[in-house]
Amino acid sequence: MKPELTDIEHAFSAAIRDPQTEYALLEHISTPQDAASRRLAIYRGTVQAHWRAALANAYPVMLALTGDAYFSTLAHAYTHDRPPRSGDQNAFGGHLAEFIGAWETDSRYGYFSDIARLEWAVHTAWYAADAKVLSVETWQQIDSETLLASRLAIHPACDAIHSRHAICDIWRAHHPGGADPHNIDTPSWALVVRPEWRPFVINQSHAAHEAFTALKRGCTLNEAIDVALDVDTHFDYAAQLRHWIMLRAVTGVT
Amino acid sequence: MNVHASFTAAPGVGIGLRHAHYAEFLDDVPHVDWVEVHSENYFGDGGYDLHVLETVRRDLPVSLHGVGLGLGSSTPLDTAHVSKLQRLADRICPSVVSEHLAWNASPSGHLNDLLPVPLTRQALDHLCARVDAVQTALARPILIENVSTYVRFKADEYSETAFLAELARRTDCGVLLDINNLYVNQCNHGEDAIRAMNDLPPHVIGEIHLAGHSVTDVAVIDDHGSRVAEEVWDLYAYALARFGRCPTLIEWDTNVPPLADLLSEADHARALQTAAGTR
Repeated sequence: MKPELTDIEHAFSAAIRDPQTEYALLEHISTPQDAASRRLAIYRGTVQAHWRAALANAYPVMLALTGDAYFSTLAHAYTHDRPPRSGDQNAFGGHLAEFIGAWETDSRYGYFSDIARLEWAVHTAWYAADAKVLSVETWQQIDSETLLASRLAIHPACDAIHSRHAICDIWRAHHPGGADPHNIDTPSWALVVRPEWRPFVINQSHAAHEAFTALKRGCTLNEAIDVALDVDTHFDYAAQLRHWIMLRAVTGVT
Repeated sequence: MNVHASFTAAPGVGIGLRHAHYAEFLDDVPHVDWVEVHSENYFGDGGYDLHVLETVRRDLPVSLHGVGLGLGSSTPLDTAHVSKLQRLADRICPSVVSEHLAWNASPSGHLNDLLPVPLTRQALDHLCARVDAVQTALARPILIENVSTYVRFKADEYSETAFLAELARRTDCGVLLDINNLYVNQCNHGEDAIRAMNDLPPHVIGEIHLAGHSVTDVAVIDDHGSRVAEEVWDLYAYALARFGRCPTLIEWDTNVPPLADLLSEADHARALQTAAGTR
């Protein structure tokens, strides 16, 4: 009786994940056993290389921070715990921040999880939808009263992330023009933006962060300003709005 | 579905559109007849990659080549993946959509490689249903590519190309014939590449792939990382004689060389096409 397709694929899958289980697959293979075993190692190596490459593509700063050996161990552990669920490799790795938070127990590396969170936001920003953006002139034509009562459209690529650590500075230190942060234990409020095609990360104030997340939740500009003023009574909403418009973090009124 | 009337692959020779060459494609239209991309790299909602592809598409036909659908997987068809492919096809209007005779998914997760399908009647029934489902979703025929493999199964009841010929007959899909993969399988399994081509009726071939490989003491590896080997060019000449002047892609995915090197490989393929005459 012919083996079922399912049986062969299950045995193959197990052999790729764990060479100790390879004997079950070898029963199904016509290639001479010695060669088959060495050739299954090619598949195993290729699959693991693809997984690691997908994570390295999404997390270049984590790779630079941790080095090849650590990153490979992390990738192996993550893939075992959270195997890919799609044939689209760009979709793989979305839970790394959560995973590393539990996996890395050395408190000196407590910021890895937040760096991973920031990097995933940058990674997804690459592929986020394009936005129709109001010109500066059109923004200027909206009267203040209308603007304050409006909800603002946020660019689909934008994400605001708070950390107890200097994640913006760490991220920028691994990109052109960046310098090593003075103190990684400084709180930061990161904003991922994509004004044109290339996403990047900027620092913003705590008040601006609260206002931006309020806008993202669907609050009006007026309501968002109130949230920010609770954090900082000197919050300059006009300057902040100009900055968001320039960065195309806000794209229009809804 | 009359698949043969629907094979609209652009004639001539194409190359893969890769990140390393984006700037050159945006600057000018290189001397190629069409380009091919890996579909999954353009599954996003927007962003730079899609912007480049849409810009290039204004000047050149595009072939969408999937590497992640895993049509031979015994797990349920990934309908989200198919939907993304459909959305991309609607956006780009490709000349051809293709995938592989391979599997990649198990209940414990995806393996993200082109894994070999047992060439059995049961697998053929399974592939026929999956190809039908994808063709229905896309409302167009697709091409299925033969793959290089490092092992074969005791249960096999067909040669790979006989399997593909039957798949094409039953589903009206076409075949994307990768000549380098035939050569790799000839080396790895002693399967005669000419005989493999003779198993395929000429009218099912919608596209040909040519690529480089590397030779190790364990197996010949299909790594798409070098020039097309002489032996593969010789097999290509036979393919042109048997199948006519099929649209042909130069594939080079690892250690991607300067664009000029790809164009010179494409020129060589074009010269062989010309020498072979018109289809």
